[in-house]
Amino acid sequence: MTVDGVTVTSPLISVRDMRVTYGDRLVSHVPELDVYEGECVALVGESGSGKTSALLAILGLGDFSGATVTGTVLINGVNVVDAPQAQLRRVHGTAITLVSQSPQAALNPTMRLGRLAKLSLKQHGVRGHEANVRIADALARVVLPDEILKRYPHEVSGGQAQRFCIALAVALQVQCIAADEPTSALDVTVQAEILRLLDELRRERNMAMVLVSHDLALVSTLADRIVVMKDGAVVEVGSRDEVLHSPKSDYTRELLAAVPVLGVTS
Amino acid sequence: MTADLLRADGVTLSYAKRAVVHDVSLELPKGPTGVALVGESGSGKTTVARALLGMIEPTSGRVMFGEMDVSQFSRSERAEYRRTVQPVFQDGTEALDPRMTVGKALAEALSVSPDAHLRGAARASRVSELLDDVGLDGGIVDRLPHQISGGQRQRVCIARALAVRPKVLLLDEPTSALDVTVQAKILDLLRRLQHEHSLTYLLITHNLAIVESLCSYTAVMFAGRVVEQGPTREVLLSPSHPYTASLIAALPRMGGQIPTAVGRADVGFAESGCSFRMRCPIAIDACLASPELASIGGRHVSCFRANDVNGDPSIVNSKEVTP
Amino acid sequence: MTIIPPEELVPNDERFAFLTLARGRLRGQKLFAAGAIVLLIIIVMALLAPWITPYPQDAQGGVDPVNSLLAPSAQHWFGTDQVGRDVYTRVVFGARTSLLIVFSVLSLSVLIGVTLGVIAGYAGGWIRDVVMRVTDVFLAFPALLLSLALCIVLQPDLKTAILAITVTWWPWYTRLAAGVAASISGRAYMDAVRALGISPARAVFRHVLPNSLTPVIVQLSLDAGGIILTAAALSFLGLGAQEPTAEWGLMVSQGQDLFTTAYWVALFPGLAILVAAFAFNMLGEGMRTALDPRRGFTS
Repeated sequence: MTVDGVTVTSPLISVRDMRVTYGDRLVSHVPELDVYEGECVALVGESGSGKTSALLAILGLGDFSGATVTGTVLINGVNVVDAPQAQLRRVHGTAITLVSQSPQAALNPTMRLGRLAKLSLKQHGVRGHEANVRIADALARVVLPDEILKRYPHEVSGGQAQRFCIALAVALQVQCIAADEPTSALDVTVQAEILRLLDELRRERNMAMVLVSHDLALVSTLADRIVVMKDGAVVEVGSRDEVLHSPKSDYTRELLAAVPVLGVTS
Repeated sequence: MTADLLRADGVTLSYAKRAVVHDVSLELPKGPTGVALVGESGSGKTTVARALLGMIEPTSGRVMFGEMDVSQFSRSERAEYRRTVQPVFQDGTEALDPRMTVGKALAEALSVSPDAHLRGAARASRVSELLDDVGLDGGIVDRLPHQISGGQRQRVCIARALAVRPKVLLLDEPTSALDVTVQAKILDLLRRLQHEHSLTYLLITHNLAIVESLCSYTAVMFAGRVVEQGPTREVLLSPSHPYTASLIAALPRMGGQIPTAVGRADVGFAESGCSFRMRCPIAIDACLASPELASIGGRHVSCFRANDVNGDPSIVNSKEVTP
Repeated sequence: MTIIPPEELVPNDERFAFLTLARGRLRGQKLFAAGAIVLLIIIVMALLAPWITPYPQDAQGGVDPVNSLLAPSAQHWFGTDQVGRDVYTRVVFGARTSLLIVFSVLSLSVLIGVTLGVIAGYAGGWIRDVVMRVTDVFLAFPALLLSLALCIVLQPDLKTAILAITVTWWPWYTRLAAGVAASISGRAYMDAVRALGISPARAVFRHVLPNSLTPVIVQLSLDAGGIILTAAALSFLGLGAQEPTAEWGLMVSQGQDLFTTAYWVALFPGLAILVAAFAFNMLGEGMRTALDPRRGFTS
């Protein structure tokens, strides 16, 4: 398979027949999905589409929310669906990490950001000087001042908290960021900053991204491939241009038509 | 004399001696029409709307209801004015009493409306007329808010507001909690009601894309001040203030490039001089002074370099950033 | 209450409260059921007391010195006291007294406390300040001491005890109700109600009060146990119900000197206090767990 002219052989994440169920209700089913290095795949759908359940299952966090996950999700050769906790933690620190919708809620409110960053690195065996260097580099990369490490999560803005979460992913040197509506709680100008940052990381560090969003317009600026979901099922998968310009499913067409666009209404 | 329904006249609001809204003047003409207040969180747009709704009293300046100063109202005049301006909030879940059925919520609104005298069949027919107006089935009256969908809840909120036959609807992010396909339907509904009932909309939103379909006039707020206001088409399609330009540049466009981030939103705003200058890509030394909200063509802009922006949103890509 | 679809659940998100809620709800239901069953038994016994006790005349007078201080037996399940009254009969009749005290104190406290609290919370401003300062004054006194003082100053009897406990109890309901009402008052639906021009009285009684009741009811059942204990303490000190009323605290007090020789006189009423207080507590704790406060008490 070829992505941006570079030939890659094996996918970073490989999902096969993944089903997420709550009791006997199937909330999300992804038959097949491969994510390659440097690629951004977006899961798009409305509430109840199963996109967030799918993302959590890909992270191996499906059981945590009380769901049952079956099928396989291979990340670097580890099947996270039934991996033991210790192995799963290793995958989270090195291969994939979650950037959530509400960054401030995702950060422990009782810890200064500096301590949080150090603990996260320590969990994955990075300590001392090495940890300090990595944190400083990561902060510089996401353009946050060092003094932010002295602050508590509630003392920074939503945009800064989201930058910090991304900085953690950078410091951990993960290969993939899983982002769940990473900008929906932010102002449109801050959203643009975060999108730009994610795009730069993808290009510079060949990071992969799995992006969950309800906003087709937002997704269309960043994603290489788009997966459209509805009522727990995948209704369309295709490259960005295929999905935007020649959608195969009626639902995708409905979604595309519903997005309000500035300068089109008379 | 004036055809305005409601007018903010130099409204300033302060908390603990700090002004959160500075000298905002805004006119809401008779419907069908709409005025949008746009800006990021903390820009003061909701505070201005609450002042217009009579929920808070301005520290200085006046809110005028026709020819009358709202603060001088008697109790009954105030009740009348409040009914004229009805709010529709972001989240129908929050905006409906969780213990009240749809029917009871509408009945309560009717009990204070000009139709309060209706009884029996006449009243029932008014309820079904209201439901019909917002595209809901009569069977919904026995449901509680959590038993219906988000889109239906928002329709109930609109019906409740219409029950008192208002002239102005304050729409506070009316679609941002809804799925995009539901949002499109609610926007269609709002557009239809605006014309059928000659309503004036005051729309508060950060979603510029929905402004155009409901509002012919737009005011852009930054750090408690209106930085640009004028006809929506002019303001949003050819902005004159660099902040408006940056808002537009930041909108993701279907299949487009990654939107442009201008300056850094987390640098805050300047306490003196032009409040936007720290984020402004084209700020100059003159910006250390406060720009007036000056009339340029059909709109008002407070920027020393408005003529340089002159409707070109790409100005914000300019590299002449002064830190 | 919002039904949260499972796909909206995200780790580290407050929406995850749903999960703890589901677990809490089950535990809550068990506790609630256990407390409710015990209380139901106590209430039924109290109501049927004259028909299910062997010596109903002992509930009031019925002095029978010949049969004084008999140990528990087939005739006298819980034995007899100093003046020969059947302890079992008096314990069952004592439930009537305790329940009377609990329900009187709670209704009075709710009537005064919740009404004032809801009005204060909704109105805010100086009304809230005045009401809250008054409650602060009442709360500044140690509750039991204030009750004791009142009982001493007034004629000590059952009515005085009820009054004395109510005086120390209502301010808590005012505080609780004021807090809940203030938070409800800030909700969007109250903004909508105000914008319609609904009168404040109607807003309070149709919207604020019904939505404030859940936490109040939980608090009521949690407090009931405490009231039983306080009432028993007052009687124990001779400042509550007076002879010959059958009251558990009074009975324990009368039996305390005899505990080494005739343990049953104090033990059985003591156990009754324990069981009743515990049952009310389980009921309240169960309700509180089932109605997790994180849901904001909206349904």
